[in-house]
Amino acid sequence: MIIDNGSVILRAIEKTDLPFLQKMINDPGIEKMTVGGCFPVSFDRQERWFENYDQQKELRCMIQLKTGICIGCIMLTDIDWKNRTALLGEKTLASKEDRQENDTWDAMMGFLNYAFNELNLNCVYGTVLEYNYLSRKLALKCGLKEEGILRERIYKNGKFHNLIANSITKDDFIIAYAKYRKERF
Amino acid sequence: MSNLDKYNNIFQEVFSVAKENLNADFTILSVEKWDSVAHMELISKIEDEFGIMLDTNDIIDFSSYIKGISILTKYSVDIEEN
Repeated sequence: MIIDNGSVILRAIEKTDLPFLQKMINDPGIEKMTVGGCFPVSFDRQERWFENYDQQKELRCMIQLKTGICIGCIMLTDIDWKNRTALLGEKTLASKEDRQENDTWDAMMGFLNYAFNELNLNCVYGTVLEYNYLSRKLALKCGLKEEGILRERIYKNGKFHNLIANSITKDDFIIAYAKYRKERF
Repeated sequence: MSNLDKYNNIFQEVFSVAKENLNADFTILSVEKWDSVAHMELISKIEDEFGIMLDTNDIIDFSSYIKGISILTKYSVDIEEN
């Protein structure tokens, strides 16, 4: 099923999305703001990733505006079905002209609603680079709480950087979602 | 119009705020309306107004009203602070 929320639909990754995904993973601006690998990714490697990723252990969706334009992807990885937890990630790459107000808020809240109310997860968590203020802010807006600082976990651009650990429980989400619905619709 | 006035006008336009609010406390984290879409709009208007193209690192580092002023000096845009 697709996840339809506000200005976006969240849908499965298709082969036709691979060039966009490759562009995102190779984008220096995104690399600076995210945790993860920093090697250049070839299209061949991107295809092999797509053919091999385990759709039972991870949920990855494209964020598509209802205009038809894809602006990024959102994912739950490390899904722990026993403890009902998962690691949340989100990336956006789009021009100013293609973006819409509240698009990533819609994406996150729609995705979290699915995580808690369809997958029956209890806690979704993540990490964000301390200096990535926009992502931290979006997470806070979606109800995630900053739990602590993971010191000097990431090396980028010649320096070690802190990560901020954050999370949202189902109880937190109920409150955040009510607020979101009231403000947004 | 001075560079400061131009700079302030952009902030006022993007964030719908009064000039009095434009100070050291005006940051990405403190301003509710400052999200990624507003950020792109802010950068775009600054680039257009001052005829510059900001480097990706500077776009990412542009995290406050005051920080923006120091970033713009790299592009020979001098803004006299409030």
